[in-house]
Amino acid sequence: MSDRSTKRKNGFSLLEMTISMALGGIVLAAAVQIYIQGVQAAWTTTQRAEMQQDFRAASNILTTDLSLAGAGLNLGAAIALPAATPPVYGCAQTTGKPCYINGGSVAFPTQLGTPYLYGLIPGYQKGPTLFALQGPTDVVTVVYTDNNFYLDCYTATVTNTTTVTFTLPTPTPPATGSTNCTSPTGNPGVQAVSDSAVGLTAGDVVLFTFGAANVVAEVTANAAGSAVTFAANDALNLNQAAGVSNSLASVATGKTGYGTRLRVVSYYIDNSPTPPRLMQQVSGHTPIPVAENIVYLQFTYDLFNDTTNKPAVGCYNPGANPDGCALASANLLPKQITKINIANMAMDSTVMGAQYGSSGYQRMDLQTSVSARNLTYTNNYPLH
Amino acid sequence: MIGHGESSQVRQRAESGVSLLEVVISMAVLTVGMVSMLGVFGLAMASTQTSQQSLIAKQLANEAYETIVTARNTGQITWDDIQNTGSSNCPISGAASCGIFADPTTPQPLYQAITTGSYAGILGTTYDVGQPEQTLQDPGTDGIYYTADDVLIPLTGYKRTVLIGQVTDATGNVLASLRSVTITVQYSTPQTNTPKTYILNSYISQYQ
Repeated sequence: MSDRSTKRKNGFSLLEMTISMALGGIVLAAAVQIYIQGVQAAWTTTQRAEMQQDFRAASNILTTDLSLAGAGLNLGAAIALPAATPPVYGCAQTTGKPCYINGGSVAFPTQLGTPYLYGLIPGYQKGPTLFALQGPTDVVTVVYTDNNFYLDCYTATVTNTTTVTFTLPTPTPPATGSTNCTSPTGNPGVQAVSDSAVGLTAGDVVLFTFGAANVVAEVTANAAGSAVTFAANDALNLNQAAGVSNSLASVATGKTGYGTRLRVVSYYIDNSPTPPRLMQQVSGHTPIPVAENIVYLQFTYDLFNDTTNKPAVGCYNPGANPDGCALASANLLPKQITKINIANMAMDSTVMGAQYGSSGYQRMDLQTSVSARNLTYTNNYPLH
Repeated sequence: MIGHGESSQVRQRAESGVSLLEVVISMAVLTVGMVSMLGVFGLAMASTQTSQQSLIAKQLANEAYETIVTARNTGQITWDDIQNTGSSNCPISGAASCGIFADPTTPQPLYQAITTGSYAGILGTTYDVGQPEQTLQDPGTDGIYYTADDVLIPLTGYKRTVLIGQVTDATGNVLASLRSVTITVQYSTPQTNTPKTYILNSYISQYQ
């Protein structure tokens, strides 16, 4: 009796066991809850940090490029293009000449029937529609001179309607006497036209200056030597037949001048892959993705009316009706744009967030403005 | 006697073990600890949310600076105008007082810029006072803009100051054609009691 009693006192009773197990279970359940919350918090934080980095990178690229609009285009940032076949942007000079903006190409804006290359080209609702209620997304295109390669140090000679030969003037270096060469060191150090890294490749757009005439043409084959091909039927319809105004083929054989490589950079959303991406397409080259999960892109523009000396503010489709700014931009041209307002660039978190319900869904928006410093010419505006 | 002795041993053993009361107390302590851990998670999450507000503050400061640069470039305002209101340095007009930017000692709510006239599109001016405040459009739970559940978030927690200052050269002479621009965006977050600030320091020249 006494032995049994001792044994009983040594162990746990069923009641004690049950209570302790219940308490232990509660503690364990709480611990598991905290662990799950911890994992979720860690996941959300990681995702947010990653999103912020992607977003910052994308917005830096976009705002930097927008601020360069028109840089180096000392022509009032408006260059007339050949009109026989409407020139376009958004296509690549590769096999099959694919076009990318909303699955197609976008025609350059026209002024009295003539297409123009402006320093900044608004693309109101030219992008794809991600949600019908939201409407189409916007596209924006900026044009500026490419300073990675001093093509302007070469003398460009029209060899025939589709070929221009680039030769470095002698004696070298013409440190003085060459007004167009932008290389700080003169001709030495200027890379070959066929340089694999920075030379002319198929898809590059070149602005030629032959005396008073300016023509824009697209390189159709990678430069092999000093002669560069600008064959007809290029992806951007810039190389048009002899006799068409503003075409390279119309420039007389033997004419000399110089060329400047342009960067015609379009930003648009590509929703053919999932998730949708912000893409950057340069001249006639294959586009590259800038950021994933960009789900909306919308711009407005501030213009300056140099007749009334008053600005037109917040116009989403300058010069059109409606323009978004009570027709203040009527009769104004894209070259009169002075500020680009990124009305909305929205980035969504990845769909992986769904596993944690709505708490995993995050969004970031960019709403800011960029001054188009190179599109505003003081000689157009009152000086004070 | 033997039984008594054994019984005393048992009591000793029981005393050296863990009583139910002790377990309950230790659980209570543990719970307090765990709850405070939860608080840390919350804080960590909140601080990542704060970085969103920092990003907005940065955008708001940049935006204001870009409007000044644009207005300078277009010439819609004069060099006299690019000063805080009440400045007595008015070389262009020769007036006694000039400057269009609001008093820098009073941070302004984020008024939208006026849209007509010479002072259109410039943020932080005295002409903006009374305009509706800037808002952020949130697409709501469906993630789609321009639907019924869109939320326009007023930026009421934000305040902006545009301070235009004189710049001097090495010998202390005031430079006539260069001014400093300091844009301060103040914002409060639910996590911190004191408002945070983002300061953008830059310059503006009379010429492009």
